[in-house]
Amino acid sequence: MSIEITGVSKSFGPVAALKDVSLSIAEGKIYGLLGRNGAGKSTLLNIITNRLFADSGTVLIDGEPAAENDRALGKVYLMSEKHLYPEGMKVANVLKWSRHFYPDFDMDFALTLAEKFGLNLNKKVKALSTGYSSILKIIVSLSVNVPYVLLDEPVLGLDANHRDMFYKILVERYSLRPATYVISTHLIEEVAGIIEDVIIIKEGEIIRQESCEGLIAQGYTVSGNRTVVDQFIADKNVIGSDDLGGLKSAYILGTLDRGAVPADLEITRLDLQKLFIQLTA
Amino acid sequence: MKSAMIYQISEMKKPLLIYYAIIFFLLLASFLTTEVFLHISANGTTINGIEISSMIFIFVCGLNSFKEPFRMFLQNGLSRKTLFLSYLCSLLSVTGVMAIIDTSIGAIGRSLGSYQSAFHEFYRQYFPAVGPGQVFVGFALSLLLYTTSALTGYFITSLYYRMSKGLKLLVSIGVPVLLIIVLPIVDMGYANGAISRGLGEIFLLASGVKAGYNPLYPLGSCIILSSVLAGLTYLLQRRAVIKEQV
Repeated sequence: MSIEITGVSKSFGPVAALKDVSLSIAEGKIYGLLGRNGAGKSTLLNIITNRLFADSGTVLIDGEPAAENDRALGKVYLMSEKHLYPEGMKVANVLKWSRHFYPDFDMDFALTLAEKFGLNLNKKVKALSTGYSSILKIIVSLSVNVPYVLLDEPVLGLDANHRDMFYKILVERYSLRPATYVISTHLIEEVAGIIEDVIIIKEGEIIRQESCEGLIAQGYTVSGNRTVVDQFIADKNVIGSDDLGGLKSAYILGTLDRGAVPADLEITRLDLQKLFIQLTA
Repeated sequence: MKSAMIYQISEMKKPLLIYYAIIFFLLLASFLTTEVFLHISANGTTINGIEISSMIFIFVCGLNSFKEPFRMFLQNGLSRKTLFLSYLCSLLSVTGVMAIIDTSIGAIGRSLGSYQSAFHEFYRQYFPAVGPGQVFVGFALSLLLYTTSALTGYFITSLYYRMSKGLKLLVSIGVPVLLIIVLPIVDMGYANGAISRGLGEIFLLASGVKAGYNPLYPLGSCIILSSVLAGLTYLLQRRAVIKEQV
């Protein structure tokens, strides 16, 4: 059970948005889909959900072609940056119709979330702020109960409290009813703690797909006195550094030889965001 | 498919209720004015043309039936094929109900002497008296004309959706200019009226006038035209995509 993407390419005029992308998204995992602006993340998600057509390549959902296939498409829900609900539709009706289209839609859970987030059910979709529009999409995404939920910039416009609530509810939901969540976001530090696998896309090509732990384990962070750090990293593959007064943190790719680390330096895990910046620069 | 149809019908329900509320109000006002207050029905004063209003109404509905449901269906994991088929099925349900209402209004109005069905008026030779057969033909004609009207609107809106902004502008200006200015000039200046005569002949044949005002001809014409429009619309919709970055 998985989403299998094979050799997918897509161009918009002269711009190649996706170049021969092949990818497997397994069941029951939380993925982080990371990439810079214009890297092709949204295009990929839109092709998976049949909103756009690939120029070439195939998308299989649980072994069935996704293109124009209601059964396959019914297993996936995409929460995109801009939703496609009618602007004049009331929030309550969005939930009502979601229940019509997704038989396993959990209305009670959706209503509970609406209350928790303070979402007014009588408001029209067009009257929602960016933050509440995201909240509506989050509520539907977490209530549809399909095997694959794709979240494109899910926390757009949300304040810190609501973002925190979303991450907690997502993890709770995932532990109670496992499904595959693909989170496409620029807020890497915020999702780093909940994603299991990372897919990094750069200029339309997948440059990394591996476990988050595995990726982070490919390097380490060294911190301490600037002079000592500089001496230590002289012959290392440094992917970035931060200076603060006389202190310095450097981000290193490579295997750590603990015996060679001076006593006054601190070694910590590699920062996913720093690694991402280096990989996609 | 069932949910898709329920959604499509629900989208048409509100405008349909408003439309018939207005129609019933106008009919009632007309009846009260002519029959009750002025007592002029004996002079042969009648109202008619509800079928024409219904055709215009359902055409406008067709114009507004693509973009929002298309986006809604893609958001909810339904294919373009389901969108198209559910529209066809729900449209036939709606035009069927409209045809029943309009035929009933025609039958009741005719018996009261204050209403004349536009179709019965036009095909008077075929409908010298109203029996069950004529009522059925009137119903079928309403059904098919409304369906064809709606599909014309649905085709136009699907075509416009697929066009680029430049092409939309070109078609919006070009088609009226072609029909209102260029065609008459070419027809009268170079073709000696052959184009308008040819178009007139086609209309007379399709409407059954040439066959002695036979309403079975427009039934056939509507079936052919609606099939062509449905086919072209599906071809347009099957490759339609969400336009803005979503």
